[in-house]
Amino acid sequence: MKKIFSRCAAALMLSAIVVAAIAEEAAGTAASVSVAKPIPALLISNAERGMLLGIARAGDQIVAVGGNGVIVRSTDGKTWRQAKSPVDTAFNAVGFADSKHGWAVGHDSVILGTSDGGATWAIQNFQPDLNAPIFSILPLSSQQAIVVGAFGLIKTTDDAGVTWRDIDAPAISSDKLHLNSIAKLNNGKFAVAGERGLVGLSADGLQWTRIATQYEGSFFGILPWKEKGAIAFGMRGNVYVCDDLDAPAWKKIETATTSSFFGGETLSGGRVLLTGSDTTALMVSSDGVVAALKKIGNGGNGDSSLTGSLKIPSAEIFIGESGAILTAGD
Amino acid sequence: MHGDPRGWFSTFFVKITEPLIFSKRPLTLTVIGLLTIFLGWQALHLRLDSGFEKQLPKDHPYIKILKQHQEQFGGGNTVLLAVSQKAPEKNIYDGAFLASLKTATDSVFYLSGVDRTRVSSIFTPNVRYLEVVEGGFQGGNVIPSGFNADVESLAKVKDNIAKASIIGRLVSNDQRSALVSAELVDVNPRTHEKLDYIQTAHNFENIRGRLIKQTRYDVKLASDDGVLKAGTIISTVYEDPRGLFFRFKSVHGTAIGPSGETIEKDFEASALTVAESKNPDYNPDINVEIIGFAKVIGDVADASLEVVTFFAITVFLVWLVLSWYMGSFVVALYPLSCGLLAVIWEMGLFKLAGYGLDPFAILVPFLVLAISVSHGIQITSFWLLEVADHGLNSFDASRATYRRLVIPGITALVTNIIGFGTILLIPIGIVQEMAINAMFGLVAIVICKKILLPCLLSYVHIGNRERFRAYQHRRDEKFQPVWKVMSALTNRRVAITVLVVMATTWAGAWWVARDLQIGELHAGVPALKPDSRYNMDSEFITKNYSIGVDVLQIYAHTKKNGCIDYDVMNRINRFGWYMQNQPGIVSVVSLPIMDKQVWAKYNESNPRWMQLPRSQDGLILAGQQFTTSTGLLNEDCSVIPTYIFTKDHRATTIDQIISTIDKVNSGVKPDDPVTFHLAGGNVGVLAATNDVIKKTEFTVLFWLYLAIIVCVYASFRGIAGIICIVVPLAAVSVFTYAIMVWLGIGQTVATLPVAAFAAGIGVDYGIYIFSVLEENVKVKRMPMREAYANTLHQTGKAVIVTGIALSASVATWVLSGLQFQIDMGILLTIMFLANAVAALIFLPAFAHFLIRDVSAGKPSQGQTTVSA
Repeated sequence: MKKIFSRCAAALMLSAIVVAAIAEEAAGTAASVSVAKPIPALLISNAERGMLLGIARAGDQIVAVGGNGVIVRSTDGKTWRQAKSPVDTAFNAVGFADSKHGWAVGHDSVILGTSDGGATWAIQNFQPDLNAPIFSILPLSSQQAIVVGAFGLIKTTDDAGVTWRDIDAPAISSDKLHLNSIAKLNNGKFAVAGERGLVGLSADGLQWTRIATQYEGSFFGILPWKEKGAIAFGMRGNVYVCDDLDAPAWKKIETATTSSFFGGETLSGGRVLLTGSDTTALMVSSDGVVAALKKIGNGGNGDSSLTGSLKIPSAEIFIGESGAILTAGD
Repeated sequence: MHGDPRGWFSTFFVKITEPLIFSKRPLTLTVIGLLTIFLGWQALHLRLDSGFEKQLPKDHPYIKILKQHQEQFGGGNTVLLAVSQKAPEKNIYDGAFLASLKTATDSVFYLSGVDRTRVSSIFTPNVRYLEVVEGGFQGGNVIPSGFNADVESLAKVKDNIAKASIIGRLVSNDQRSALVSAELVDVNPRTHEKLDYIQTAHNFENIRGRLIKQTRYDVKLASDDGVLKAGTIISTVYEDPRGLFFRFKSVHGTAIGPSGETIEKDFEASALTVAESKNPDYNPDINVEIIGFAKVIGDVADASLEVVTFFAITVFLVWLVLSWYMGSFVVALYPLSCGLLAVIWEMGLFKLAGYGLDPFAILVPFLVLAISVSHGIQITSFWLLEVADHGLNSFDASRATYRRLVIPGITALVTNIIGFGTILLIPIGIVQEMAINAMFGLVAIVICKKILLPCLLSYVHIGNRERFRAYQHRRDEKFQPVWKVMSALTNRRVAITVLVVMATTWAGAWWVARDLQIGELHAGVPALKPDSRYNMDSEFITKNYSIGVDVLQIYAHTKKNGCIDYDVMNRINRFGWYMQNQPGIVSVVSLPIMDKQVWAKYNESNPRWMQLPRSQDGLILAGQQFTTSTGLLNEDCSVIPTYIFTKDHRATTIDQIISTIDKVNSGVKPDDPVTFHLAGGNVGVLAATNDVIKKTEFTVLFWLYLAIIVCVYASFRGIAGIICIVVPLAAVSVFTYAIMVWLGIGQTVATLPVAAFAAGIGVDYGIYIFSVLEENVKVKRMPMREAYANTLHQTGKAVIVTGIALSASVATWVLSGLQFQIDMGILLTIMFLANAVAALIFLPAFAHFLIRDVSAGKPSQGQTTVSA
């Protein structure tokens, strides 16, 4: 995929450079990328109906983030209030270390930090020139966190986000493949998943090794599986489990769908709830048995994607292109 | 004679014209006869002329913007034809359904006037599915080649449809309906003629017939016609074309000649035969819905023509009323036929001036008939009086009538003309044409009623004069007790009560009328009824598809190549995002929004890539597939529209959205990289129209009443006349607004002229009553009460009958299939009747206080006089 993409991009870039050169001349000062400044997001009603891409719990608050710089909070999944955001670009993920300290990450390599449970946010990192969105955040404590993103981006902080530094991890970064997700396994180790079937493992988050997998497409997410393993999910219904990442042996789980999975949530009893395109939701039990496919829709969005879920007492909140959807039970 | 209080002009006028008309009657009649033939022949050639442009308020800033962008971004000349499963358990993945959809697609494709490059349905090659696979992209036609209706193929189609992102657009959200979308060309590429919208609408209706009717009718040539052989099918329809008058009609048909040339023309029905057969395309399980501008025009035109049949009913009703009143069916024919003549003249003059009939213009003949009948009643009634009371013969009675009534009659007509003239103040073409049409009618009435009728009446041969007079007396006697009671209105105490009641009702009506809404209060196309076929179809499509039928276009103006500038695109994106969550808005589409979706698609359809790329290369990549034909951008990317689909076009919805956009715009400076301009789309046109109505509402009424006051003053020289005549008129206007609020009728382009018509016509009652009353009091020196009783005897019954006749003329509009005609009919009926009642009741109350009773030495019943 990446090869075709880069070939296409190269060809187009050549023509684009020509066009851009002419355009710039004609337009005078075109919008120069290097002087891009963050613009605060619009505050509007029912922001939770827009595209949401990440959801996390912060104490008794539920925080969801998504397109157009939206950050919304709720206590019951029914009524949501928008929090002010200093950027108007899309957020891809949100994570909290405790009820107060958390981070939201997204395009322009933006990292926002909060220390009041998501009521107010401040910019900790902003690098629009990289054209590298950050896709996933793993909070470790109120001071420490790791983020991963496009083109092999991986960063960490030890001081609650005052400074973020790149992690040198050639095993997973040198190919400049997109790193889509980072998770902590049940034995305390860390795993990342990304393009071209990439899976990486680390004991401390700083030294990384690449794990061989059978899949050549993109993994969009990875979650802990059993004591020492991981479940990785991605394009076109592909789900693979490995019981022990130190001695990797992947097994493909038949999902009977070609819908890509973009989000996953670990539930009680080792179950994993996967969510993806065409409003698909799939429950995988702790021994790899797949339940029947469900469609979570709110009418009129038959081909939109779900990107995640969060369990709340006696209900499940699904998020995706059509915003937040509350369903009972499950 | 009446000329006395008026001075020399009237006497002079009468002295000159009377002999011209009466001494050379045959000459007068011949001249009028010839003119009638000429104008009648013109009227026969009047054609339907529905236009989109005529409905636009020309000078409104929104419309200026719309016209600026119309060529690039379309006038919305689309037609959507949807095929839907009836049974709730069936969906579109069904062999019979897909066969019907294919038939529909092919039929639309081959329709004359359809742009074949812009037909879309799941069967057309321009609708493809695209999916991201591990190696890149994969795509194909939604309906694969080698498609047959077996289970496997149907499953593949279902799969492809999901991947083609057309659910909500070409396939309904519940996947039980699919549609064919077509764009029409304005000019037929073969014949170079402008598109005949009405014919196109009928063609689409025919496609509906092809899918759901059981019988097929092939219209064939009975004998050779030029190069076409007998038996050639020139048209296939699904409604039996043979009717009572089939032989006299012509059928529009198309056939291919022997050398392959297309012959499309009208064939005489008498040279055709019709063959019936079972319709092979009949599918009993489906419904078909059709919406689009061309269909609106077609349906409106068809419904307009229906109204014409009501004209015959109206004429009959009016004749009955007149006959009862005049005591003779024959005598009633005189004013009636003069009225019809006026209508013929009006239509002839209209055609001569180069206009065509549109749904507004079709109502004018009814109005002209109404006004001319009302004048005819006055004239004939006076004539009857002269015959019955004063024993004159027909000729002398006619002359007396002419002398007595020509001036007040012309005054009344001039007032009417000016009243209609105020409608010209509404800057919307179709309304102004209606006003001009009506003014032609008034000119026709002057000739037909003031000159022709007295002339004709002078010839009337009353067979049995005594019986005739006896009938008149008997009829008058029936009214006498009524007049006696009503004359009590001039009594002081009664007058005060009446005036107080009037004041309170006025205040009450004013209170209610504050809630009068501007604009449409119903959903659907406002011209048609809410339960019309078109509006039901429109509701179905809005409910089941994500595309809206109500759209507002906002044009973002920016520099060249704005679409590869992140700042510009982000501003437009933010605008769309802001509007998306406002109440009343269903969805928003614009180039930045589409760019984001494409960008995500390039990245494995991962929603976490759905963000505008910052780099120019990224924006180029994301946007390059959108050509100008998508309507998302213009050639040099300096204009980028945002399409806002609204949930309906109610005035409240529109107002809210416009004010939100105005608020957004107030924060934009003129030298910002992007400025937003209202407005296009049907919602934009409605917003502009509502604006225009708001602004002209007051102006029209102001000039109307000013004109009436000036005319009344010129005729009656005194404030008494103005108050007695104009105040009741104004009371009725306010009262009507309250009625509009109760009936849920909004103030629209159609109802605004109604106020002008009703006041312009209603003033006639007051003029006639006041003129006679004043003469009775001032010249004949009768005491007030007796004067009013006598006035009623002379004109009162005429007023009542006129009110009934006028209302009868417009009441049939209620049966129309066009909503605005119904609204106008209801309002005019109420206003005509109310004006009559108001004149009869309020005028004497005012008169008591304002007309100086100069009957000295007759202090009957404690009446005292108060001077004005």
